[in-house]
Amino acid sequence: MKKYISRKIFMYLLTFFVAISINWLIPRMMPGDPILNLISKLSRQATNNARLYAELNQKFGMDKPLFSQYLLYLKNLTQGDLGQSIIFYPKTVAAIVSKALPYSLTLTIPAILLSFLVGNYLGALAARKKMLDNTVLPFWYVLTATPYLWLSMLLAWLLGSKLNLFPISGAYSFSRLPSATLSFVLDYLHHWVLPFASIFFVQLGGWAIGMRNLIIYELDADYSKYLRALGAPDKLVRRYAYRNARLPQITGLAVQLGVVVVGAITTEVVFGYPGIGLILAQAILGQDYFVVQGAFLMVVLCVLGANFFIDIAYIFIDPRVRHSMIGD
Amino acid sequence: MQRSKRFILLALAALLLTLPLAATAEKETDFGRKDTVYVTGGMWSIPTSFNPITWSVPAGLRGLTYESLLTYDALSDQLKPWLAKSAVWQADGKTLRVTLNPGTTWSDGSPLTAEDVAFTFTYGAWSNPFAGYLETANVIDDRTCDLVFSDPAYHSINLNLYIWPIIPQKIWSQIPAEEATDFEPSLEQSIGSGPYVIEGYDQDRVVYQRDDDWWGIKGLERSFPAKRVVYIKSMANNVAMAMLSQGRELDMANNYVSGLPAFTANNPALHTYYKGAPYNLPDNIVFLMPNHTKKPFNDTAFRRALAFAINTDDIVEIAYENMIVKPENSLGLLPHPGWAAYNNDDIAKNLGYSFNQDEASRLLDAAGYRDTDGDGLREYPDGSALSFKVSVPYGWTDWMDALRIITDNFREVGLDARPDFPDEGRYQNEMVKGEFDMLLNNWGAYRSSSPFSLYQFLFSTYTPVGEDEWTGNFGRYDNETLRNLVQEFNRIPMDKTQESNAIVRQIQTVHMQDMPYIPLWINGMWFVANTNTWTNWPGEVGSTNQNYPSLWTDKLQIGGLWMLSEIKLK
Repeated sequence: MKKYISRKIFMYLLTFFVAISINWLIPRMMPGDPILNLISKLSRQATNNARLYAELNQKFGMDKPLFSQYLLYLKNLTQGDLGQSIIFYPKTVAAIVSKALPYSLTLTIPAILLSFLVGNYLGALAARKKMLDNTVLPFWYVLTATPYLWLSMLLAWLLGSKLNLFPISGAYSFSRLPSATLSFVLDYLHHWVLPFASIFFVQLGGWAIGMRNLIIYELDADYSKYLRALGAPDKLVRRYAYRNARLPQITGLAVQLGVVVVGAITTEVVFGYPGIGLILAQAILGQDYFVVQGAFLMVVLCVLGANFFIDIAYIFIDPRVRHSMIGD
Repeated sequence: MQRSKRFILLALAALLLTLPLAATAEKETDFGRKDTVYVTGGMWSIPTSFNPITWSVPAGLRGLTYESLLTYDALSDQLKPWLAKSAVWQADGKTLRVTLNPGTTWSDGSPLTAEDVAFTFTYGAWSNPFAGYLETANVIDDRTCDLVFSDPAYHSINLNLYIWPIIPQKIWSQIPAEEATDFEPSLEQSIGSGPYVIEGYDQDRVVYQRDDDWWGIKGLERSFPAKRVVYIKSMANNVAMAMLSQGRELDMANNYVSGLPAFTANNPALHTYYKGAPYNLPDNIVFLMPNHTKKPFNDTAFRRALAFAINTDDIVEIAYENMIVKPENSLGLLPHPGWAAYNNDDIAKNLGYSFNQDEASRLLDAAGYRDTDGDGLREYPDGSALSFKVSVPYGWTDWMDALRIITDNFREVGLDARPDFPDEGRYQNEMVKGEFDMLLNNWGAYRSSSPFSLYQFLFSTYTPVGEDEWTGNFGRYDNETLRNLVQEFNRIPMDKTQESNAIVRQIQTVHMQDMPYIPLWINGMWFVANTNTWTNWPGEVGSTNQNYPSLWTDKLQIGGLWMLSEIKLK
């Protein structure tokens, strides 16, 4: 058990290290000079921009050779210093990212979990009800193939603009500031539904199809046939089949986490939802190295963290893994 | 297991169903509809810091929270009192005597005195518009401050009198001047003198709340009807338009909206300054800027030929759907009372240009750029291939459309011109470093109290390629005589228009003869308002609100503030 976990931890740390290094490198491959962008905002007021450029360049560490910048980045990371933003100067990256992260999490975590649970349930249902299978399955194929961006825009147009049921911009109404009241919570939820739905429905299709296929396979397996031959009730057979079918789905969940991040970005941009995705989009266009690094760091942490959590969960869910470790 | 799943499903369904019901029901909002005015267009990015003297000032801060000494009426070309009753040049021509209005106070109740004025204009270098040419600031008494200039640049000073915010000495003297632009004042430290205070903010909005103890209620006999002003971050066109036509959470937008003519025609509640074309007041001039360090743009004849090749009517009608106007003449001055005295039509007529493709071809032929190999495109006089690109930032759709028309025009006279749409960062980099071929720009060409700001933008600086140019002469046009003329212009008192016009005529003559930068079209001050809740907007039939309808940063001081104080509830 210990060996399993320590090996896992080592792999994750290695992956993390590689990820943050690539994270650091990629923005710097973009052409252009972010300090110039920053100074252009000053240009109409200050008289000595050349000096300001030199100062800012030094402050952001851009005047050092590339490798020194990399080491500085790593050192700052260990201290939790994500640096200062360029396009949102003088706000620190940590301030911006920590403000945006909760919005992204409230969007993606419920969407992932609920689509997983509901999708698997519906998939299992379709696997044993032929009528459901014939009617709903093609719909799921459409859902899973739908780009997040397109579904977001469709929902925004139909349910937002046309039918006026939901707002299409922001995390809460412009006619209020956050307060600990029920009406604020309702308002927040009101704004949350469409972005959530965009991610939820696309993911739902995938899980449902996957589960449906797995259940059909399991119901046809030798042990299922044997149980039925022994006269076991249908419900029991289905329960065993479900437990087995669940495992590949959980592996799939770990993989899907990366994909859903991208989906969340486009959804946030369409709905102007102030999460990490929107910040990231702005930072990339504004060539803000530090915010891009900070945002990607959050993404890497979340995805790796969730993956690690699922790996550990496996020990409890899959008896074969448990036994193989004890055998170790 | 299954039961809990079913429960989750049911709970989810219930939640989704009740939400629209919760929404359509009487919503208890924190801000009353009739107490609030919602605006957008002036805020492009999240509010970063409520520091009024740094760059990236959140929209509304200067004007609503912090005030300037005077304001400028951009429609009638008049300086009007605000914090200051008057700012008068003394007989020596170097001393500006600023007299404050009685009773000026900060939002915490403490008095705003001449000390604060003196402090504001002597504080630091980055954070002070008069750094370098203010000698001293003498406080005569509580209300009076003498600004003594070693080098009175009258036009620049005039501009800052109505733009620059006065800051409280007691807060800012504790911040070292080098850190002034970095300083992020907390809400408690954001003490301004203006009619509104910052109530709250988030990534996509800033909420200002009216200060009912504002000094100007008595001192200027002015009040603001909206208890709250909510500035919303600029959003996608379609979202802004959807919100604007509903009118529930958006009253006014100051951003460019394509398709506006059709949109307002279908929605009688929407109001633009002019009912028909051009819908908007003119605000700034867009120039075509060739890079003089590159061939063939260093050839004056070539540049002049370009001016004749551009069909501005097409830009106005096709790219902008008649929401803008073209310049009155080749000088390209903004049609605005403040600049009228300098609109020397005769120079434009004698030395200017007009859309004439034949003339463009003739000029190109005469300069030696002919099509020698019969491919329909002209070459250099020595026969080598001639090709260049013209850049505007990607995403500025109206500029992109206009650019396509321009490059098409160039191709029609045989020039191999290509439109280029770099993202904003690269566009700015190339511009500042002088690495572009040709681009469009309007940074310093906005409405102001004198065309000095325009000529400062175009001709006052020169930075060789390899160093960064920030003010305006991005094409590196090197004309020292012109630079000196612009500085001379700045040193002539504002009221001596005849004297300054003599200088301006010289500037304009050189401009027309050399054609270093070509004025293209005049951008509008984008403005569209929903009249369902607030009315008496500028331009409405029977409106008493004759003010510049813009709430952009630094346009509040040229009319936006007055506008906000004069709108009325329907």
